[in-house]
Amino acid sequence: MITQIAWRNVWRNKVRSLVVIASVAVGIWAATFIAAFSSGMRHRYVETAIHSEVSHIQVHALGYLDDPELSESIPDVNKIVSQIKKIPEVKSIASRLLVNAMAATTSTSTGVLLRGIDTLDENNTTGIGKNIIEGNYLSGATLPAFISSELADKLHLKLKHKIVFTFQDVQGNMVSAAFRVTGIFKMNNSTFDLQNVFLRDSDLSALLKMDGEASEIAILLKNDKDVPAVLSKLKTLIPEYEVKDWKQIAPELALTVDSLNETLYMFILIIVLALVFGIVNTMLMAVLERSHEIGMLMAIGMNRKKLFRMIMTETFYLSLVGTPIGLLLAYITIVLTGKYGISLALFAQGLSSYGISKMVYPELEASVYGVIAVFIFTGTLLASFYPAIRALKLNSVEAMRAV
Amino acid sequence: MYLLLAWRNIWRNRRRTIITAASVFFAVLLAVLMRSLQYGAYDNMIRNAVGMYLGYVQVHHQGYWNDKSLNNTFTPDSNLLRTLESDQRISTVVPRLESFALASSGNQTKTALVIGTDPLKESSFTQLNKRVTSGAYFSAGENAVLIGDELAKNLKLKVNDTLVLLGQGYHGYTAAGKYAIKGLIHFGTPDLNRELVFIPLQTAQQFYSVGNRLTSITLNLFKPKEAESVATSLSQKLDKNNLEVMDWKQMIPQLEQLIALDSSGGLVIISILYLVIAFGVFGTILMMLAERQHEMGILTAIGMKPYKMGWMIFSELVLMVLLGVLAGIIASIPLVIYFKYHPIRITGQAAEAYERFGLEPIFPFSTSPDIFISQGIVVLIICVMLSLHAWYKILRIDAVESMRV
Repeated sequence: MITQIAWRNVWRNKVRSLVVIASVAVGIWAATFIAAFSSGMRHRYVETAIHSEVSHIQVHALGYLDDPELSESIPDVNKIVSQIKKIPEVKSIASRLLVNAMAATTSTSTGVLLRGIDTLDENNTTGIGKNIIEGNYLSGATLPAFISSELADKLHLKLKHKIVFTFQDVQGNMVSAAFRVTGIFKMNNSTFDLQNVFLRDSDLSALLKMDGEASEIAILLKNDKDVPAVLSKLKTLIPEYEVKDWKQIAPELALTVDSLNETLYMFILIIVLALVFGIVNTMLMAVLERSHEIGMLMAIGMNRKKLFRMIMTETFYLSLVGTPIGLLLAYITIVLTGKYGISLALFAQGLSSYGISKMVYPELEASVYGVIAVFIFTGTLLASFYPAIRALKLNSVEAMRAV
Repeated sequence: MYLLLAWRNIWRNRRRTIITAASVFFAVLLAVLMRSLQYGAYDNMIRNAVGMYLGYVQVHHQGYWNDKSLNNTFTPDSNLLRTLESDQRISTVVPRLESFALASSGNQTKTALVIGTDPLKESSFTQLNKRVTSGAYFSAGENAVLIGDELAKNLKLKVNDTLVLLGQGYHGYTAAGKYAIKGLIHFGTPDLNRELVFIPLQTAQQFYSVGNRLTSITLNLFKPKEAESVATSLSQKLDKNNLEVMDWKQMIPQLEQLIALDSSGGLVIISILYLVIAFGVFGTILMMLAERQHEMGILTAIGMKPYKMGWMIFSELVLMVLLGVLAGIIASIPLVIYFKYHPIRITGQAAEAYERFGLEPIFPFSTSPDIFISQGIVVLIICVMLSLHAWYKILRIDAVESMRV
């Protein structure tokens, strides 16, 4: 009975109902889209770092991270790599030999980290080959070296120039070897650029008198979400090694992500508050506008309990209509912007000169849609409590007099 | 005349006025809160990155920042120190001498960043004394060092053991020295823990045989916003051929880029908030118009021109909006100030991450005055545009239909 009256009431005054429905829809759209947008922002920070430097998971010999020395390397890398490859979530694996060296040219010298890599694996894992600005990736010459443009500037090097690296081999003997610059890269991280030099692992391991060993195994997964699962799998698979995820390897990255997450909750809270206040006001107007009608209902004998239920049911219907509209709108917006991206250059001038990606691709897990919908749905119902109570306080005689 | 009519109208039905003004009031309040939170986060990012060690402004020998070598050091003359000490905008002046050296113990050797600093000034700026995890903080002129806990572990050293430092001093002099470990320090970043060695300034100057030379003078400011202006005014006062003055934006441009990017994302988020706000206010205005249909119908019927009535309603709305905006600004000031001094605490995983870095896990709010004014103006513009829509609706009013409601 009450439900029917409420349903009819909703459609009796279309403008009023549409305003509330639209508010709910816009609220849900806004909260969902902000969640997706922030998630896209966060993704951009992390994604660049994961896909170009850290990877999702790294494996080292116990003690290597505390004290990065050649003696703390992983023997029999191929066996471990083939074991890891069997895990279905793994996209690619790159093993590296890392050794500190002095890089010298005829004019000057500096300290660098030599990264002996498998050219193909490394490119699949960190996409280093994409950053070439001159020459080729490691190829051609005997003993090729792939260095950054920053390092090239610092050492006054050009393509095909020679560069001499001096380092200790695994037995502690000093080794010097001349490499030829075959390619120059540039990434967005100038600290990384200045410190790292890429060499073929075959060349480097021969000079280090090592065979089939690696300092580090970096694992890239198909999906960010699989990190905890793969991490625990690896810990049981190779317990004799140190297996760490990107949050442990790069705590400063984890800090950025965590603080972004926290701010996001605050933002969504503010949006929900804005929505609730909007609805309280609209509903209050709607209820008080109907003073006359409500007074009449009370005068002909409708009790306050039923009246309260009627108004609450009306709001319930309004949110029920508004929620799917909002979710649908949000879904469409997120899919579209997720595909084409939002350029932040629209909002900040001169951003394009920075070289950091200015595109944000909003994305959202399906479950979050549900959480936000429930959140706002409840918020709306709570928001109609006060107007409904105000309606109950109307004096029927006074109310009927009002126009 | 219309203004008077409008003024009387808004007080005729107080309830309606209060509801409309309240919707604007909350709009301003929330917009200010949102922006203040965003700006607060950027200030915090800067404070964390810059205040932890770098300082807002640094003075170096000309060319030091690009070629960090002991040969690019300078002797601070009394004129320089007087200029810095007398500048009211500067809160702390920390002289430093930093260079890489080898740290060793037994047959273990590691590279270390050896930082000579004034113990008292350093702790008043970066709170280095609070980072000591075991042992004690050092004092000026002591033959003692503080080293990162990871470095100590790798060298198998404890408090009170002896650390040997070897390196290259000024103009190629060999630098060598033995120092007692006074305490172990801990930083959030593993790299820092592995390579930092702090040593009293005079001891460092003897070690590197640089006389009274420094690599940098680091300045902490009362107001971080003044970094640029302090840097410019100092570089005009100081000897340009010898000294370079850099603010944090010049030293770590990446941070400024990061903030610019983040802040453009913040603009997207606040635009969405404006949209939600606009809907709230729009709903209230529509309701108000609907409620007054009957009244407006009668006014039209007795001969009031629709545009005049529109003007009247528009004035009413603008008055109510102004009321709401002013009240919103006034109410948000104490709220934001409260949150600035009693910031919201971050909990859970994020809090741990913050603490690992030695940062306070809080959400600071910014109380920069332009936030209140700009947000008030934005909401005002949105509401005035919505009121114009009301005017437009009234122009098309049908007296007979309206009176029937």
